[in-house]
Amino acid sequence: MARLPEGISRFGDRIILAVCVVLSLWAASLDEPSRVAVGTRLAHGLLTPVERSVDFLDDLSTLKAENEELRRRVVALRLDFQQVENERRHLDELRRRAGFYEKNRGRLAPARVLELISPRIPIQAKIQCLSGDSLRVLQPVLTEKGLVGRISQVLSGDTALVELLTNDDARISVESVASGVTGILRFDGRSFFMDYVPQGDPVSVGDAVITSGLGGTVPRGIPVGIISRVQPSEVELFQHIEVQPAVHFSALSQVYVITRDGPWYSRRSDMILPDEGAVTGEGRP
Amino acid sequence: MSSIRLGLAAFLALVLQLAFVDHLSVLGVRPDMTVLIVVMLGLRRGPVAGTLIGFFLGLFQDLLAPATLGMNMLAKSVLGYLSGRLGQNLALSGLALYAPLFAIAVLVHDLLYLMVYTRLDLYRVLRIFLVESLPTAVYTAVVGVVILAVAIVLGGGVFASRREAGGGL
Repeated sequence: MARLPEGISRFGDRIILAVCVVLSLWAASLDEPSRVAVGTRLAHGLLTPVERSVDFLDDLSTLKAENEELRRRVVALRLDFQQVENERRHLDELRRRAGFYEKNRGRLAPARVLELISPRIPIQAKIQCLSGDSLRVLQPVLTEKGLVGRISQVLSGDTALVELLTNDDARISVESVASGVTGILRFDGRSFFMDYVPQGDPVSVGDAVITSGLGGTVPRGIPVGIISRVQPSEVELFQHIEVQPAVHFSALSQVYVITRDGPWYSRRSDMILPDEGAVTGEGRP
Repeated sequence: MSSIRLGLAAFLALVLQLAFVDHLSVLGVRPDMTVLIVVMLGLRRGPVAGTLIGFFLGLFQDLLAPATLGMNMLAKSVLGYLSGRLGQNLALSGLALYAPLFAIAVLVHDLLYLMVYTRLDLYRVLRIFLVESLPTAVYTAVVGVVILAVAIVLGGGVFASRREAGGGL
């Protein structure tokens, strides 16, 4: 405790005592409600910093745990952000490819199936284009699953008849994705067949079948189905290959028309986009 | 002993009084640890420190029960001052001499407190004084002597500097 100056120290203790006594007597002389009010205000003023200090110490004690939790959340958010970023890049890539496809291979115009024309199974479909694109004969029609057929007759600006692959006349060139072997798709009224595949050409059950682009009326690479049965024969010139179609022709409701006119060439670049790296994943960040 | 240590000692006395004294209760009588600390510090540090310690310790006690605001402040300020004066003018040379000193300190403290508390109602002062203050004084004296003895055994204790300076104990 600081030493008092010499002049004051002789009476300093008495002065301090007098001050303390006066203050005490003043406080004690108040009536009880006033004493309580003054005491409460004083206690609040004195104890608030103490309470805040105690709260601060409590906060410090919980700070480490909160910090750990926040670190975990930051890591999780970073992972989420990375995931979102990857998805965004993927989406951009898909958009870019879709734009490229539309630019180079025609726009997919949505159309509604108005009627399925079928003596037994559907062989023709009447469609109405929903996008306002003008329809033309031989434009390919497909669903998300695969090729449906080609427009055979335009009834009006936005309505047309589609010749389905189940029609006898709908012969299109197809190929096996696995081996590149080509053939002609045919429907015999019950099943699809891939005709004109010589004996010995490598085809297997399970191979995907796509359009080959040969003939120029349908672009290459549209899924058609999967080879479901292969029957080689020593006495016949060609193999007997049955194809399970990708599309259910009796359940068509929404289709798309490729609005660009042919001819479509069978160049491989028609199926695989020029920026092949983007398709295979090369060059992606 | 620095001012911080003085403050800590006063705070410790208050905590002891509030938290642990009930465990020392014998037939409803409890020692007054705050009086002990005021007297000890007053004896050791002189009247100024004794007065201030007593004032602020009494203030904190009063703030815990604002209806008694001023009473503990007054009683403990005077007690601290008297202890300081006594420490300056009197050399206590035996542990046993502190027992009556502590007892008298409690009585003086309670007398001052009760006179203000009862607004000089002497009958009430006397009744409370005899029923509560006397037993408390005896018990506090015993506890004070024990604390002093422990402090001495543990290495000089509270009054080491005064002993070195020729003071008591």
